[in-house]
Amino acid sequence: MNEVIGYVRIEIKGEVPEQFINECQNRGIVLWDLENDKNGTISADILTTNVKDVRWVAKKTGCKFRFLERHGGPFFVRRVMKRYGFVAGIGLFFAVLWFLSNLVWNVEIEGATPELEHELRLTIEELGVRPGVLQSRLPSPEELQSIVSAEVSEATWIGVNVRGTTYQFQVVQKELAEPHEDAAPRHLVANRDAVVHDIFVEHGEAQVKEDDYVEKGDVLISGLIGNEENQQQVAATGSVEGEIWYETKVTVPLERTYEVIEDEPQVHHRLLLGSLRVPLWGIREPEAENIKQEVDQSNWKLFGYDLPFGYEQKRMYETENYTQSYEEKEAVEVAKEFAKEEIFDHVDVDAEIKDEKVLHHEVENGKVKVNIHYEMIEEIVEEQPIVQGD
Amino acid sequence: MKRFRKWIEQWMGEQFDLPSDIMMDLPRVTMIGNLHIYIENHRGLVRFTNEEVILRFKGGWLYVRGSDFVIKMILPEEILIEGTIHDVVYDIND
Repeated sequence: MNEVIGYVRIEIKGEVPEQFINECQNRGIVLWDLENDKNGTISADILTTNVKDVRWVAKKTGCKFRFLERHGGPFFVRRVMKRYGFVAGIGLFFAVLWFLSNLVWNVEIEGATPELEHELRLTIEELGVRPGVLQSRLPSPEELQSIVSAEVSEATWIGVNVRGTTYQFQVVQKELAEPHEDAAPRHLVANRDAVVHDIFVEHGEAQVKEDDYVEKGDVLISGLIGNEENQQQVAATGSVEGEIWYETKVTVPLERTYEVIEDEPQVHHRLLLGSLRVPLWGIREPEAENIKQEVDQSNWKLFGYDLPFGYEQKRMYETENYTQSYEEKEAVEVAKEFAKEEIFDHVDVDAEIKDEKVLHHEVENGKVKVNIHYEMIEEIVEEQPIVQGD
Repeated sequence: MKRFRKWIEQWMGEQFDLPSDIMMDLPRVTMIGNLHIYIENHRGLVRFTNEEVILRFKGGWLYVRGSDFVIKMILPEEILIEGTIHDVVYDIND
């Protein structure tokens, strides 16, 4: 504290310097480190803020005083300011450092072929991104990203990052789909029992036609083409859609009970101190019988450590139970919805429903049991390699 | 009258087990070896040299003698003296 305000060492010379000390006490001036140098001369430290008062006390008690040393912040600053060249140097250093750190020093391009890199480099140089320009003159990375992405069409995506003084461009290039190598010779066979709904052959020879019944493992599109004398093996490609039957059983209760939130929630705020809950707001408990609670708790963290403090918000909703009852007909409709959901759990999403038939429904114990028959259309092909020398 | 008052003060201090420095405004002196001496309840500095410090208190003087005295701190009722202390003498005028 004394160092901040600054303090001075003074020398008091007089007939009775003790009087000076006592008078200082009366006036509330703090003295410390008093030393008796020789008879009638005392030196002491005082705060710079008290210098005026001390001068007055000295006059009153008939003592002479002079300053010996100056200590603390203000004097230090004054001394430093005398070496203004030094101070200016420090200032200049930081200014230059700041200036240089705001320049672009490096532009990195990653993940591009040489041609694309060159093109990208030309594009961004046009925008002004090159070593030696001020970062503040450039568009923001987000803007750069959108401009560059639009200009350089060969890239699928260009990410722009500023890491200190380096602009990083990460390029994901479009890969042109190369005609893939001929796969090994193969048949396409059925992966389950079905009725063929539609068949489309790209390579190979169709072995079945629409409305044929196929069993699992039957060849649908053969990889062997040509006649007996001039036979060739190819990789069969194509798609075969088959009709598959599913039967699902769904049970729907005729009565359903809902919980409905009635009113605005009552909110309690609590401060957590360890395991203690200190109420901040909200004491009244709701009166209703049915209450639904939601509790949000957050713990405060410091440097990744959990602090023993937290905040809890508890929302209490008054709820009312409602009962909804279905007619039998409605229940069947609901059952159909459920059945559809269930069926798509088992089959591919691309599959489509060709037909839907309620086979049977019965009411039992307040529940409706429904059997539903589905005709689904699905892809049924499976690859099967042709073993050489067969 | 003065004596009577002093007698009352002393009597009360003894009866109620109160520290006498509070009851009777006496100086409380704390010494750490012969290096520091800390005096509370003084009533002013009478003399301060390298070898001697004289303090006034209610009803007398306190002499501290030794060598190399430095007053580390002085407040209206407290004083901390550093140095080599040889003797502490009370001079009480009844």
